[in-house]
Amino acid sequence: MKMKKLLTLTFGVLVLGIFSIQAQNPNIQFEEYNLDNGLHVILHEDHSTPIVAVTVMYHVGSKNERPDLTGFAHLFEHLMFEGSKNIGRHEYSEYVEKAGGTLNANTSNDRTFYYEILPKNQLELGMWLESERMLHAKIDSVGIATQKKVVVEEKKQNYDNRPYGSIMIETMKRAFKKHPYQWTTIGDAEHIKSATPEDIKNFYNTFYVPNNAVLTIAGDINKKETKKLVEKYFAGIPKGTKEIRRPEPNEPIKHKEIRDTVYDNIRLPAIIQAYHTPAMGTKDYYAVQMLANLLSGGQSSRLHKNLVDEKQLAMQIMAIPLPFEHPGLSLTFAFPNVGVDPAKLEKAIDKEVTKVRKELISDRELQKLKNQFESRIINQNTSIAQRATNLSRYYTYFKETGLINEVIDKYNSVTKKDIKRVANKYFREDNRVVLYYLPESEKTKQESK
Amino acid sequence: MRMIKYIIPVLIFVIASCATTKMEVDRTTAPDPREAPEIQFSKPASFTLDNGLEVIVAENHEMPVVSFRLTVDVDPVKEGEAVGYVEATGNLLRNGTSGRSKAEIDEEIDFLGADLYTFTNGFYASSLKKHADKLLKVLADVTKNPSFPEEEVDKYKQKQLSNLTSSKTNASFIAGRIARKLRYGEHPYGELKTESSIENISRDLCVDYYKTYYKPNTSYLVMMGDLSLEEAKKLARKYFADWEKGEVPEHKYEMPERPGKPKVALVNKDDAVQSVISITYPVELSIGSEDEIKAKVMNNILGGGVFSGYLMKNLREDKGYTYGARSSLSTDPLVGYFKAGAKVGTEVTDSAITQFFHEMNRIRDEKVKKDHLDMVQEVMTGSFSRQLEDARTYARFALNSKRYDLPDDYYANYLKKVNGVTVEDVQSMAREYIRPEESYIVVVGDKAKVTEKIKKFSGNNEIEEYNFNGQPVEKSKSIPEGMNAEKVIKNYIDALGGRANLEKVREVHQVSSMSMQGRQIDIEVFRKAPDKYANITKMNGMVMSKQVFDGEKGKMIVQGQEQQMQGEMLKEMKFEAKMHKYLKYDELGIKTELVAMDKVNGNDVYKIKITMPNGRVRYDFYDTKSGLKLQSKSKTQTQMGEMDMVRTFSDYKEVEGVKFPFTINISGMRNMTLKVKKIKVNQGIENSVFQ
Repeated sequence: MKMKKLLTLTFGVLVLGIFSIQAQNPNIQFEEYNLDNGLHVILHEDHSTPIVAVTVMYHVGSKNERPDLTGFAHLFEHLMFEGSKNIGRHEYSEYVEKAGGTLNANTSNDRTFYYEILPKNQLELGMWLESERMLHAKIDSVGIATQKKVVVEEKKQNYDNRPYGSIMIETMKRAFKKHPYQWTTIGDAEHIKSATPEDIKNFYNTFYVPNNAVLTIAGDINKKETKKLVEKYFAGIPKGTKEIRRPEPNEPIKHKEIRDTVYDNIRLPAIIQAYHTPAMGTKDYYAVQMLANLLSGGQSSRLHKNLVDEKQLAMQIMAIPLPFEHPGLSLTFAFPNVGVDPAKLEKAIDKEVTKVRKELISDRELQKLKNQFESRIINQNTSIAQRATNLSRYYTYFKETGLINEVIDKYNSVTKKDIKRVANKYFREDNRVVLYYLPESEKTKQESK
Repeated sequence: MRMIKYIIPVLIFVIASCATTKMEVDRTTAPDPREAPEIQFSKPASFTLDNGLEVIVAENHEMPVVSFRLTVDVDPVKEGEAVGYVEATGNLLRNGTSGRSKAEIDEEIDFLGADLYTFTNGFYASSLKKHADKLLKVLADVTKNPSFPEEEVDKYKQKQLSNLTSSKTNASFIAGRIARKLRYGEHPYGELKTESSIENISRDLCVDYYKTYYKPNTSYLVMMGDLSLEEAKKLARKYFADWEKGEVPEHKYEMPERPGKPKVALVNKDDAVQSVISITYPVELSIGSEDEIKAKVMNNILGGGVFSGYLMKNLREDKGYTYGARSSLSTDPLVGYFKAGAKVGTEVTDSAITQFFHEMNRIRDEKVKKDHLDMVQEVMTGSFSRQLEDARTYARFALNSKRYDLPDDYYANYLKKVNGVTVEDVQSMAREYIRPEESYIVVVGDKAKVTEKIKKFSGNNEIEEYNFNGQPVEKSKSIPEGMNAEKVIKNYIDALGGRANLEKVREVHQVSSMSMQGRQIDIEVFRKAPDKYANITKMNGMVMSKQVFDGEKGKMIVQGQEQQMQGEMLKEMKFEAKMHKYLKYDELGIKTELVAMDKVNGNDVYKIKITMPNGRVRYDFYDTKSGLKLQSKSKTQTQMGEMDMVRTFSDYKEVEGVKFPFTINISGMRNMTLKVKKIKVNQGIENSVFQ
């Protein structure tokens, strides 16, 4: 077994060195190594609470799906609770609840994440549950039939019939023409319905393999003992042999605005502006995040203060860059106040964006953004579960687990000029999709034109 | 079978690797847990400032983060006509001080990357340690000098009103309100916010409450996170030492009693397909009391999580009546409560109540199985430990210890006590705290379908009906012999002025107005027999929308953009535009049914169910005395889910021999009152108005 110990700053270095600065940047210590089967293991020891998080992140999300089999990564998240060779139907939750723990999972466009949070004396239970899932999850016809129904129902409830529920689906399919981000995690109900057991097993054998996963165990553990348990439960899981489909970031650069209207079962209109922005982890991504915060982070942000509080044009405005592994989008959602013309609100938002393109932000604003991100990053790592997630993410996307301690510096190095520059480079009209969500009752207008 | 081919090499591999590492993997059963962890507690420090402010310091140096929580610990007050003002006072603390506007507070908080929430009798705020001093400066200002700007009070009231309105069809919310009202009775805990009580909230009430009750000598400040006792002392003195102390009134209330016999309370929700059931009563159970932990273990056996509760097992797993059935037993220094509830299908409302009673009696009558108790103890141990991860938990513990004068080792021994509870303890706790025969049974559901079935649970075989605001609904009379929908409609037509006069009305031009969020909205409606219709809505004098229909074609103009009506919309318009529909319900295929007697604003009314040819249902309420229509209820879909739309008609006046309502109150998304300014009948309307 190869062991790669990452350099970890010792406390002594901290004290001797630049105490006044470093004291604010907590150093999350971890150890990482690979098993022979390719499973990457991250251990983070913290004895402040007698609990452990056992987590597995599989580097598979909706972007790894075939265009004719969308929604699979998410369908799998459901199937993976159906049990395994040794775990009966629905017993995953039962084991965990009875042990006094909690569990869940989630799927994104880029990865799928499973976790259990357990009292420390139940660490081995968590290892057993996760290794069973990786080794021989139960994928039988009953489970497939049940979960297909559940997922199709979930799509109806959360996407089709929920007001504004289709926003991501409608936005992504217009923004991406080549790249698999054009479909979202929920996928196409028809693909899910028609998926064959062969398709499903094939997906499992391709992606749910140790060489496509990160096992992160965090909390009140003894590393030596934990390593033994990792060996016991995971070393025997065979390496995957199928080729893992990894799409290229191949979406062509846009030179023309796409503008459209979607009619939905809503009472109040919504405006969505989606700018193509760079991949997570790039220098410009950090600047884009700060730009989004300048626009809508907090009640004093430019859009909130000017358009919500003062001019009362909108009920709510949010700018959110998607944290995607490949170049993605930065989305602005705006809900006009009753009686406000959406076009008027959009113009007002554009005016604020133009201002960022033309004028440097103030020193105070830059400092505010830095303060906000510093606080956000630190608060993102307060719980064991959060730390486990972040450690896994940084490894999965960048193979750079240590970013957890360094990401603050990335934000701190963003300058006023960077923000102006990314506003000009990405927040351009010809680089965006604009959608108006309007009540269905206004649909006839468009049809008669 | 690919899987088998796949698994065999895996097994070989596993066996092989076991041989080398000498570790046996028995995958067939779950591994046994190790010895349960011991939880270490450090007792938070505390000190008192000269003005009486008690400060608790819960140090946690894991992360360079600090947070502060203020609790103004005063007796509840009766808010009477203006329920909600105590909450308003708390929420508005951060919306302006004598030295800072709301915008300035927002800017300072955001600049620090901090969070600040204020609420009933307190605040919570957090930031990085290095900003603690600046954050406390704002917190001290918000605590000592709030100004409650008139404008902010108004905005707050508007928000509260729309929140309340949007909750009106939420059956669980209604059940919660009624349960509270019943079990607390005259105690302040039983007061409910209503539209009128929110309207009555004023700046003066907030200022007065603030001045009377927000005093350091009745407050606790919890300082948590990465700061030492010394630092905390310095900061607390710096910012809160000059907060002036003062006498704070005390209030004592009588302990509400359980009802002597089960009482069934119903809130009607027409056509509801589910009933919300809540079984509840007050209990005397305070935190730190002898029984507390034992009673909580008992309650978790009865109504805990998915796999651990009797109720869930019975009503969800075995009977499939519901997605979730739970119970809770709450501690409170004044009045605690028990409640058990579920949302069930209308048709099993009574069977579900029977099962609730069965399980409540079972835990009293039978000893719990030892392994079930073990499991619940395990679950509680786990969730207690997980909570400890959050620094706020320690702070809460510290605050509780002070507020309720708990023994020093109370939390340190918590798990020991949980795990020491015996089968016998569970039964004796159940006998003390589970009292099905002395409970309120609240049901929110379809009165017509559930009334007869749930009567039997009541001690006196009677049901008491309540409205949304928890006021008893007068027993509706039974439908008078020989009365029917046709007669009610006929009376209505006569009351309006008679068929002959109504038929003479060929044109109506109505001008009305209302105000919405400070904006004036004018609505002009034109109708011309048989089926022309136009509606022009202006906001502050500007045309917002226009809808016209000439009997064949229609269009809408919204914010300058024109659209033709087509399809379903056009079909509906054709139907809706017909004048005098009530003169010819039969002809139009509209069905009417006299379903019950009811009350509208104290008047006896006939409740008529009106079913349109497309199946849509509405309920109209006609005054038994005047014959006039007083109210109309329908359902509408919004982004917040289904919502009741209630229109209440009053102030009927005669124009050209026919009566029209001159005041129309509409409650749906918002509560609005439309005042009719003038109505012109048969004065000539150009056909061009409809094109």
